[in-house]
Amino acid sequence: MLPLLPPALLLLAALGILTLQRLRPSVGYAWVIGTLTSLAAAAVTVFLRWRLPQQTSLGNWLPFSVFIDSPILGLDGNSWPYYFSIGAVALAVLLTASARLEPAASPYAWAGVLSLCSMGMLAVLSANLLTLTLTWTLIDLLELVILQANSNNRTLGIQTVIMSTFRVTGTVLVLVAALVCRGQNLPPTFATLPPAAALLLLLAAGLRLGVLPLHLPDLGIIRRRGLGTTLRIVSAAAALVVLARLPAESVPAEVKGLLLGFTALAALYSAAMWAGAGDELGGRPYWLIALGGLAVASVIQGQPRSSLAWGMLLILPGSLLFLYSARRRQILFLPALAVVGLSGLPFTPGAGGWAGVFATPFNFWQVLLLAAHSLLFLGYLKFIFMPGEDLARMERWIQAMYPLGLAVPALALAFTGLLGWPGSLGPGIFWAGPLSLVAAGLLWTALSYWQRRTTRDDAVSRFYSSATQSVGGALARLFSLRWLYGLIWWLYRRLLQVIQVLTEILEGDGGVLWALVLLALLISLLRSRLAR
Amino acid sequence: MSAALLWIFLPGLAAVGLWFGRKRSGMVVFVATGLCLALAGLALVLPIGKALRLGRLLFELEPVMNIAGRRLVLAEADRPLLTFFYAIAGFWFAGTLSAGGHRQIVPYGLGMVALLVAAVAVEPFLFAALLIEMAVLLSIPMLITPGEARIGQGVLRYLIFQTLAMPFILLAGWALSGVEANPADATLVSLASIFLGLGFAFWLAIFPFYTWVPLLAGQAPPYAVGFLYLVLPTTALLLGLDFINAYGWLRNASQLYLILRLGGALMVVTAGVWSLFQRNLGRLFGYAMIVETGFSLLAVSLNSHLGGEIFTMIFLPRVIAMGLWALCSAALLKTGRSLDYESLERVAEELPTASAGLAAAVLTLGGLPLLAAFPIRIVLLQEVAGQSPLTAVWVLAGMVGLLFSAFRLLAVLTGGYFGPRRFQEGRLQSALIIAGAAALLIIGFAPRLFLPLLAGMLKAFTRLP
Repeated sequence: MLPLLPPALLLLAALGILTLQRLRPSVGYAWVIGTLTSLAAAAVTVFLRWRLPQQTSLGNWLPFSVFIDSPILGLDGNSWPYYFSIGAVALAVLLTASARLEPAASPYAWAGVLSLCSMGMLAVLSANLLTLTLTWTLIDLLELVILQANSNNRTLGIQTVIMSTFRVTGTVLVLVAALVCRGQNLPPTFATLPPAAALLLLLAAGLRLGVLPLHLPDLGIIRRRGLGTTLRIVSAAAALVVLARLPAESVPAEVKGLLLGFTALAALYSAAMWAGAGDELGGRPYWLIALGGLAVASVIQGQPRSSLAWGMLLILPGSLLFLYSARRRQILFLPALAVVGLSGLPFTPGAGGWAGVFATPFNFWQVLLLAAHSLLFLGYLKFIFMPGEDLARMERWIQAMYPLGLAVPALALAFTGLLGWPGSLGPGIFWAGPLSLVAAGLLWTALSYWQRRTTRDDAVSRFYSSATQSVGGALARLFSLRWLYGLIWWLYRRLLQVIQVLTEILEGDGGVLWALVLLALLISLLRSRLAR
Repeated sequence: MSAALLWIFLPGLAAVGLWFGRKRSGMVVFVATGLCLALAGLALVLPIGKALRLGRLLFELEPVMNIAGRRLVLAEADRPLLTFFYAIAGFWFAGTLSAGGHRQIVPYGLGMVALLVAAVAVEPFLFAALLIEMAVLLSIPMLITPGEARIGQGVLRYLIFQTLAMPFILLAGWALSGVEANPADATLVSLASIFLGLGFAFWLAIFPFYTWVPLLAGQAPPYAVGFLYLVLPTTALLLGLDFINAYGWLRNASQLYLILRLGGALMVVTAGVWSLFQRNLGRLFGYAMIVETGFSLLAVSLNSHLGGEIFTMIFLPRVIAMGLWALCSAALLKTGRSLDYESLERVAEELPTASAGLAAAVLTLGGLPLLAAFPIRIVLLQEVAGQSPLTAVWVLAGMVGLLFSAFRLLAVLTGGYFGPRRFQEGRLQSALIIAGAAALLIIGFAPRLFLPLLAGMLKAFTRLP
């Protein structure tokens, strides 16, 4: 039951803040409640590192006289890193919120952050498919409520539907996986997944991460640093933990190349968009997809454990950068620590991820994945040196609290690197990290040269510039998959016409006769089936 | 005193009395709701066929009542059924004032319930066909909007298909009496099976006889349609289960369960896919009902005790979700809109409670996890997968079709706008809707506390596994 304490604490704090705002609105008290509670929750998550594994079952949750299935929450070596990092993100968001009090202090947003983290922890604890279905839906519904409470414009309509469709499709794939397990008389748990069910779960996680197929969960309406980051990170963590729990042989050899190709292209495209984004918040969705892609690729190549390393990099350095709103030279070492973790050099937290990228045998897609990592690294470096709000002009207590908040994900990354999971501290594939950094350096040089070359005002430069824009635009259109969604929409319209014609026939004047004809057809089909 | 007198004739007479007083709609609703809830309560506490002492008074509710050579049998095991029927009716009638439907609903509805209970109770069973036909005829005035000069195609189609069921059931009765006399006669057994199958296919609007369901739902008042869709298929399903319970040759025919599985799956898949292309809330309601009947058939097709439990537990979320849907649709209609999507765009800005209630109802019937229908659906799907994994995946696809159409409806209702709103809804209506939506959510979170409440209905079917 102890693993349920942190999510319960966070949820209670969220409820407490909401109640306080109703009865006696106070930003200060709300912040103190949120910060202290998330600190306590994070402390419990650290303590639980030495109390693994733990499992809690909700017993007879289903209403039947015979036991069929029940929600199970379990904390083990695969889920603890995500469980811990969500706790760290909650604490970091609350602590760094001190620097964002001036423009928009919103205790309601903090309540949202805390409740999301609470649900995210429950999702990470999901130890069977039934629990996963419930917790994913819980997160989706909570997201919908948060979007509802934080948007005053009318831009959500079709985006909400598309986002919900992708999310629900992911959940449906989990349900199909459960049916596959039942069809083979296996319990729907992670420990006994048949290959077909494992593949379905991989696709479900890929879908929720936006990797398979590539799509952007467009939550652009929330550009808030704290709440927006939590919305994305928690949802990603809930999907990433599934990857770590999949068996090594999840993907049949026949589809491995195809899936890896899609994943590598999605990761590379997103990494390029991340590196080219105007600021870190604009690039935030691409960061998630690119690192999610590296995690998915690890599972495809039979190394689900390696997905943990990429997952940690997605959550911890990611949240650090997205919360890094106020800047000052003296605290630059904090994002720099995250850069070290991201580098993938031997004995850094990212090193464990390379085994998933460079699994034998060597293939072309691995080069693209390496390039994706290089671009992610370049983009990260670019964004930490960008100007932001001036921390020096803020109040003294903020100058103390804010760096502490930034230190939380950096320290959490170091902690998970040291003690996160067996093999988290090691050389990894020792040459991969340095190779990626060299590639990043070469890319940086090439891009700088290219930029200088294309900014000159001569005919050749103009040609290069326009060629670059055309190729970039075409690639962006290709990888945005809008053409695919257009095609799906076109198909839907055609199907609609067919359905309308059929409906008119069946509901028209001759409808009764048509029903009898259909019955005759059905009986003739059934007769052959029954005869067998 | 006979049980039939209490649970059939009393409500029947009350329906006649209320018809005369129908102009005083408040009184009619109050009396009918009170009577139904009282009858449901009595069915819950009064034993049938056992002597009961109330002070000095000693009386017994006799299970059998002979009338014109026929028997109306309401036994001890039927008490959960009676509770269920009258609780549904009470629940429905209580919302009529808030829904603003026309005043015929209550007296005709009460009369229908009395006739349907009689249909479940009557022996020999072939008279059930006549009683159900009478209930169908009684339902027609509810489905016609007052002042409407032309009767819609949906009402006519409904009447045609339901009436077509009657001769088949009567013929099945004739064939079954032959089977009882000569069980070895394979021709008579085949004939009885075919007649029964066709009769029930018409009653339950099984594929391909369900075209009237969305047609009617798109044309008739939603509150009346909701009541109809709830009581008629429920009665037919219970009668069907009673048949399987009563006849050993039917119960032991493995082909029956295969046909039921196929029929149920076809209904869920076709209606789920069709629902994706609907642009009218009423028609979507119709397709949701077809999906529900399909799930009931799938539950029966399992031919196991678990299947029976699923069959009974499916009703509670269905009743609440359908009630909520009908109430919210009626609330939308009251504002002068139609149920076409064009007319409902951004209606959540003016009617947030009705929109939220509608979303909760549609998502529940779509089987969204965390809502009331999900715990039953997931187990039903898993059990079907145990017998035929491919069928289970197809059924899931149909369910997802309905779920996606629910999300589409959500986008229409909100128009993507989630900002501050002006509330324009009455307090009673809002309270009922909030209670319904909360019930769906609470049942979804704690299914074990609520869903087994209806499992007692299985007691009436003693020979089922």
